[in-house]
Amino acid sequence: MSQDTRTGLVSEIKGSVTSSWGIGAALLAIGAFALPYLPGTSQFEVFLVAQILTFAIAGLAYNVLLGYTGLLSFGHAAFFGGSAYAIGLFAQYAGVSELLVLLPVGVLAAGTVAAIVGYVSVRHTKVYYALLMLALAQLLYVLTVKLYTVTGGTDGVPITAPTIAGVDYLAMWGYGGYLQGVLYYVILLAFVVTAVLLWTFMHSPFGLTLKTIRDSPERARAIGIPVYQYRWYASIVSGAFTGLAGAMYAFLNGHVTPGTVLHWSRSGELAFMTVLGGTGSFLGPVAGAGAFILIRSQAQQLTEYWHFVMGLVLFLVIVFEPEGIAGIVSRIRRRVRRWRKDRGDR
Amino acid sequence: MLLELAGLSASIEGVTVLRDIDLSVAESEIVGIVGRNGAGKTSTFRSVMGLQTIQGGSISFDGEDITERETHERKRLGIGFAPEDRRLISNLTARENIEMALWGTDDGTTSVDDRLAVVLEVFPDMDAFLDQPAGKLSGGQQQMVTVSRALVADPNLVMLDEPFEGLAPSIKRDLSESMSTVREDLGTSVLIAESQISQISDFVDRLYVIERGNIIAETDDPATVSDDEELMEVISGG
Repeated sequence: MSQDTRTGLVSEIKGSVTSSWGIGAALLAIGAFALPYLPGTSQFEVFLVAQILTFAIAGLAYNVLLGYTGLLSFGHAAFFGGSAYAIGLFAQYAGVSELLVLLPVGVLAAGTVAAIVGYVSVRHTKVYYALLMLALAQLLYVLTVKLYTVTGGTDGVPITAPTIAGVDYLAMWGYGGYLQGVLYYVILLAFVVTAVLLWTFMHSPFGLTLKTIRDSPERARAIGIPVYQYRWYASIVSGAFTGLAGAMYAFLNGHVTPGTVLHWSRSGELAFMTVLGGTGSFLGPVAGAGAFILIRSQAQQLTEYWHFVMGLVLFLVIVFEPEGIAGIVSRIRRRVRRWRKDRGDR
Repeated sequence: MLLELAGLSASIEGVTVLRDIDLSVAESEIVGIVGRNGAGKTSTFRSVMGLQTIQGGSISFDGEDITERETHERKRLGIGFAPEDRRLISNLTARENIEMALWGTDDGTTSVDDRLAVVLEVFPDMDAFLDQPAGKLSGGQQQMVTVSRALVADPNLVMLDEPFEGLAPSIKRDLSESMSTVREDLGTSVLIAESQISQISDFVDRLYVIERGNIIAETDDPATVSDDEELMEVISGG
């Protein structure tokens, strides 16, 4: 990247931080940081926000493929669940309960699965890629169910609360203190790290190359970009960060089963969240994860037919606002700008 | 020979577009291919880049058979390509469009800025619009960016597909003059395709005439082609 481009990036960051959106994001960050200690906040709200942050990590990672590379995957459950299972099985068989060991194990496992699955699948696109990913992920799902002597089959694997740097916070503070004082912040930190790293990746030549490939693989090839190689890299990045989300999910829920982390419907949910938030915007999947978890939570309380509500939401988004929540926000921004301009002209 | 095509044949959706093409480019040589639209110029270039599946024949570059090589490998071996439709990314700056050719191929030996400085020697005017979005540039400026993108990775051979298409006469003249800079200062061979022989006959060393996927004439005295009425009729499609 040239000096000028770097300078442009710095100005862009400075501009973002000092804009009204930057200030809004800063307030949101302060709110997220203070949440467990805000008056009236219960364990339920902290758990819900931790869940949103977990799926926001997965959504950002998923969008590396869908939004930036143009590949629709129905196999991300393999990375999400692969990481969660790697943590559960490693903890069980190696007798390790340290987060600083388990977390890299989970991310590495997901990255490895992504490297293998990606190597096979990136030569295909569109429906072929989606179905190939689905098939490979279902293979992992079936293996996990069938190898029940090792994996616990459909009963899954319990994940005990990990120690952090050797300190057992659960024993010291009980579940409430552990969730609100430690685990929530671990997940928040994982989210911030993911957002910063992926933002940097996507605004680097790497991200721009992915966009070129997404817009026209033929053009990218003509320039001399190794298209399959870049798609493979994107798969690994996406898979590893989805694995980070899977790890957070495992720690948060304390138990994983093939049905909750490896089933194809988990991949479908990640696609749903990303589309709901908007694939064209970097932070769209974060909004999508938030909206998805909140709508589902409310729908589950209202009716046992909550799947219908979720289906209706997806239908409405695709028909009326394909750019998702990010599209609605940018439309509102345009209207506010126009309204301000009109007011200024008078 | 730097580039050698031997008996190259290709078809698109069952229609033969190249028939038994023999063509060569030597080091530091400027070679032209002239033919009317649809004659097979672009298909020849796409075949050399590995963007077009071929049915027969071989392509060798710098003594190595590259027929089975991937496109990005051909580029790494030293072939640059400026396609006919420019294929710039309109929301990226001219600089980013040029640098893109180095992404993923940077061997760490030469800095991006150094490579940019080299292409600026060929097109000094480009300095004024390097940081403007490619979509806002004029046709001539876009063409300079396209050719620069093909040159920035320091290729041994650059293939230019109808670079004069739609350009103003003064820009065409500048671009023609830059061809000798490319050859003499950068030491890069040039294979250039055009539908109008007058655009390139002044500066090419050798010329091939292509018609319906066949090479129908080859000369090392390009100026004489315009005197051959029969050949000119074929080229103009008359």
